[in-house]
Amino acid sequence: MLENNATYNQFFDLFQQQDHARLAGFDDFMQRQGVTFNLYKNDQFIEQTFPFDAIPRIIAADEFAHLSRGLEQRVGALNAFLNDIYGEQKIIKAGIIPPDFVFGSKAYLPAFHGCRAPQDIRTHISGLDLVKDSVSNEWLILEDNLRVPSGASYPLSIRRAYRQLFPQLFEKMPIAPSDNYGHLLSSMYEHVNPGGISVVLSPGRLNSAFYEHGYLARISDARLVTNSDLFVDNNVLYLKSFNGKRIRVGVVYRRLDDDFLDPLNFHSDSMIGVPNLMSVYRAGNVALLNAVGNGIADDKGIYYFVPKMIRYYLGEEPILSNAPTYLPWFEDDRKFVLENLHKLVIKDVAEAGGYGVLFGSKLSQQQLADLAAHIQAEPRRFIAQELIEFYDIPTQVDGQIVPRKSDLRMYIVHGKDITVWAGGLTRFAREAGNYLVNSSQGGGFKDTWIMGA
Amino acid sequence: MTLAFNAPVRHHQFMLRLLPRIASGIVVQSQQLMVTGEHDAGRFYDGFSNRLICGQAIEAHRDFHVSYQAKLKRATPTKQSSDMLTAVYLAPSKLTQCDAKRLSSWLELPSIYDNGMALAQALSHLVYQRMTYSTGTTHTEHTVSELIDNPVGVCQDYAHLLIALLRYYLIPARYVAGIAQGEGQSHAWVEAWIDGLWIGLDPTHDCWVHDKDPYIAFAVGRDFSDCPLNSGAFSGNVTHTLSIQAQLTPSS
Repeated sequence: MLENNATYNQFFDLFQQQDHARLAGFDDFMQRQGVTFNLYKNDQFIEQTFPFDAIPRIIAADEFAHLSRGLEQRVGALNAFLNDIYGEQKIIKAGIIPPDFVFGSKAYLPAFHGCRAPQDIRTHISGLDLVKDSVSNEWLILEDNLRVPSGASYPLSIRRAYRQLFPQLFEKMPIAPSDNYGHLLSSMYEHVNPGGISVVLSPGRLNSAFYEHGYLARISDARLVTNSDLFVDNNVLYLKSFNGKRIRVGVVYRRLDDDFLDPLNFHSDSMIGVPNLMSVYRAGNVALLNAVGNGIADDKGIYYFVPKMIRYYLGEEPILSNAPTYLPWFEDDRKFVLENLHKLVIKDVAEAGGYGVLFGSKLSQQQLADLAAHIQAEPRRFIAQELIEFYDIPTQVDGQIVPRKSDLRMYIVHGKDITVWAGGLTRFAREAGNYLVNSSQGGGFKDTWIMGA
Repeated sequence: MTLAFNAPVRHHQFMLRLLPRIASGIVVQSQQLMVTGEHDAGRFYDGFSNRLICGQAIEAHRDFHVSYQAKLKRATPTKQSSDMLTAVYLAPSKLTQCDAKRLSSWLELPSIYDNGMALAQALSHLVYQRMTYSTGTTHTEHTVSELIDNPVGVCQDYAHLLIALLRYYLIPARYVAGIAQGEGQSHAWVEAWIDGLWIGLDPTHDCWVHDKDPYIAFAVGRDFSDCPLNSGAFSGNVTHTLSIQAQLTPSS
């Protein structure tokens, strides 16, 4: 079902009047700027541009205000959860989350229990994935990404091209500016910084988001570095400068997973980490963005408990709901899941990026039976969700405007305050009827326009 | 402790778990730590309350020494409120995970027992009987699943198997890395959470830890992978050998 609102009509009226030959300018821009997305497929490294569609997702002012309240609330609760789980563990003692869901997860890092993050902030940059349900007309949270959420640079950089190519749209429509993202990052750095400069730590050129690492460093006034630029001395992190001097580093916006951060504390064969970085962290001399061990909060099994966290830590009712989710680990849920497998979406909690997602409706009888056996053997490993009939939004494919399923990733920056960025990454599935919009599954992206009040 | 390299290394970053755990019913009366080329190493606690020594030896060196002398006094263990929920020691961990059905069909596990202590002792005895001690046959990443196929190994393997068994009976169990008199090298054993106390069991010697004084624990964790005594990174393409010399002298 196609999402429709008055603003889309205004957009199309204006868009029809534009010179469509200028659309080619987007591809030129992406080529010139090197806006690429790298993929591993069959062990081959492919650098490709991220398909872009010029028809934006449009969100009305009141709708954005509602989303902002809900996302701020959710991130506040997730941050409280992380501080608790690496501290007093009250939510487990209170019986709200069964210990198995925390301690049985590989993402929980007990070696860092008791290690406080500067300013008690752990969720510096969150990317929360939402879809708008066409049945209830409500936004639903599909996923919380609290480790290294990527993608903000795509809508950010394309916005600049958009303003240049189609300035009239920006004169006639009250589109909220999105170019404050760099400022949101740099003021957050300042708030959590125990002393020193800020760096964006990238694994290097072969990473799928390398374009983004450089872009974010530039707009947030940070240095782009790889591990060989950094070293630890006496529990302080330094950058080696070109003239041989050392410069103290206080903030590391790390774009690599925990496992690779420090070969002394995590994978000992990591060649992209900084040895003893964690001693600097333990000493409180560096803020790591996001904090170490956050993976436990975006575990798909923990997702089920986020509404309960909001009630527990904040004493509030959740403003935004989860997609209806069942945990086969609970006996009642397991019974329901096994009886309704053919209409549910089953996700493997250990997978991400659209991998390990099975649609019951598309499986054969044999596949359903295999999956049921798998769930019975390892109930903790799976979650089941109702299939959400989320909206299609108008999308240009081969010159035609057609409906395509789209989700939305919104970025929330947590410094002194929790702020939802008035922009976002809208991803769409390229084939009709496909529900998987992940870029690693070949989906494309759109800009997200928040309308001013 | 001595790390001997076959060629000089530089920029040696280290993280050591070589200080006695204070939480385990031991009082430190006096102590002195010496690390090669470094007298100001950072001291921290990890999440398991293990003491960490973190630092770096920048200049080229072939040998790296850490010496620690302390006068320790054993205190009467009191009921401890565990810092971290003991449930963390119930979940299957990387090296102790195995199929519960395989485990129970492999061993004749007791179904009737008087109490937690009796059960723990029976399980430790079972491990001692089933395992064959042999050095050089296993590596540090050896899992309990592999032990079921081939029950041969060293103290680390004995400890992992006992941990898996205790957890099977829902008794929180943790790995202990340390030294015991007579071993000379590092040793590994197990602690089980019974009636609000961590009770030490040494399945390699089929005994309670408190029967065979003195055992000194350096690190505890879910399994061996949480308890490396020595982690390091350095520049130089070299191999190294680690030796730990421990001497425990009971005071008169």
